[in-house]
Amino acid sequence: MKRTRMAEKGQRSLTFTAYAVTILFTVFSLVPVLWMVSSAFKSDKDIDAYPPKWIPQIPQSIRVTLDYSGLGPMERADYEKDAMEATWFPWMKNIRENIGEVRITGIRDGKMIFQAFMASSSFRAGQPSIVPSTLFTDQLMDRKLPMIREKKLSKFTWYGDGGGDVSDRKGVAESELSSRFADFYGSSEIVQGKVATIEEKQAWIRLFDSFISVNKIAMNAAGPLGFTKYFINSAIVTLSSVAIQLLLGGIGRLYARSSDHEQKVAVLLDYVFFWRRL
Amino acid sequence: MTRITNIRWMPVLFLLPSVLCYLLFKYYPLLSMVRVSFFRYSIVNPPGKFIGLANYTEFLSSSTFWQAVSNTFVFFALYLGLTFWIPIVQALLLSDIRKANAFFRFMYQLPTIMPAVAGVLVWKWMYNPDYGLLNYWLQFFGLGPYMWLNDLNITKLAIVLPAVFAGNGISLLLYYSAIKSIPTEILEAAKVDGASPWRRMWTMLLPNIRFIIVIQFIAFMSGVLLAYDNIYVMTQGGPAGSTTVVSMLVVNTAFQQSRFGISGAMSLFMFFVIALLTVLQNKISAEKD
Repeated sequence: MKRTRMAEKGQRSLTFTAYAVTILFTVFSLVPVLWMVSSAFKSDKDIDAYPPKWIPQIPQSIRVTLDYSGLGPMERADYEKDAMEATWFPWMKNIRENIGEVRITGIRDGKMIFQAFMASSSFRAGQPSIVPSTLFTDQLMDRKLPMIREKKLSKFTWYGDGGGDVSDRKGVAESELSSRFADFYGSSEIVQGKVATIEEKQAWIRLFDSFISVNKIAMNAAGPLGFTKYFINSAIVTLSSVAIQLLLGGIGRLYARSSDHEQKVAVLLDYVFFWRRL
Repeated sequence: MTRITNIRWMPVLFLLPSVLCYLLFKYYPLLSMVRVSFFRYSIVNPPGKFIGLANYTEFLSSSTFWQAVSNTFVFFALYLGLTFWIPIVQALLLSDIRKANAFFRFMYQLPTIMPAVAGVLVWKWMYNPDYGLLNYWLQFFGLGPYMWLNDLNITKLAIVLPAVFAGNGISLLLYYSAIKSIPTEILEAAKVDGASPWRRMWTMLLPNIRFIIVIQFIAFMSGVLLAYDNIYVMTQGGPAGSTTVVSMLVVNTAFQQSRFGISGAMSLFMFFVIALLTVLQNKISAEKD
């Protein structure tokens, strides 16, 4: 026989109202939290986008191949400077775009001579000091290159004559961002290498670069511990406050636990030397 | 001598550390503030020149101050009307939820773990008239777009709105705990007497948590009348001073104009206002008991 439960009059309406109001409030109260979490992964362009975007776009990995064939003799330092100009300058021009990383491959006479890499976390951390504006000159990178090396913002790997063979395909990916990079390289005389290819790929891992860049910026301000230092400061303040309140409150409670003079002295000694028993 | 030996020194000894801390960190600044309020405070040569009640007459005759007082009480009314009763209702209804009760309690607490300033900044983002989330959603209902933080008519409401949906977590827990501590026997007796669930909620649960409501109201009152950080982050007191409250005026007078004497006088004024309201509120509660 099926068990039936008699519902009290008004119980169903109360239960329905309880669930409806609770769900409504919890959903609406989570909107700012979810918006904050979602925005933490977005690019500047997506944050200001209209209509508002909830789901962040996957950052792009821009892979540029620069051909130095036919150019005069260049030293390793010249290639490094050119690679940094090819990385930082077009990125700064497209700062609001969803760029996760830029990889530059330098080739000469069909052989790879260098590779350079920079992630968006390093760009965000270094941009205010390396490329504060979109005014680019050849002399700018002369001054900034030592800073880039010191802070290890970009990675430059030199192969020289030992580099592997590279296929001679040419082409620019069919996207607005790749076209803008190609336009920059074509119109600018700062970057000496000629664009062979520009590819775009999705870089999922770069979704989390905003957190890494915050830590890098914090390291510049707060020292090698970075963001951890702020957590440590908060922990010290919180634990000290709790400890002092426990101490002061506990002393008062100690007195309340004891009833006569001798016990109070014993309890006090007990507290001082064996505070765990509080 | 006999009187001294008759004093029970042990309680004094045990309570002395906390009393000393309280005197040092609560009462000493308060008394210093009172003293400073009678001086034209000089940072170079403190406390400066004694001017008696001149600071008080100055701010009491200032239209800026009375505008700030008006704004403060408008905020108080808005917070009271829109936010104070919400955790009470939430707790009453939550006490009736059996399935997933712990889950909903956790969900209510989730917004409170967000830093307060970060939460306000997110709301400020959402209020953006060009790409904000709120105006985008309201257009589907044929409403807006609104200049949330630039329209004199709705800026105050925009500042209060975040508190409607978030920041109730701790209050909700207090009310919920109070509701759960009500003996079930009296609720069962009311049920046997024929009281419906709605009636039991209104006549049994709500009156039994009145004590907590009174305590929360006192904390709520001082918190709202002294509100500063969310207003500062949202509007910095604008537009056109429409959201400048007394606490903001005190900070600006002290740290932008370096007039610590008059800011101390304004602080003391608010202290007495809040103390008076607290006494009145306690008297009303006592009479009802």
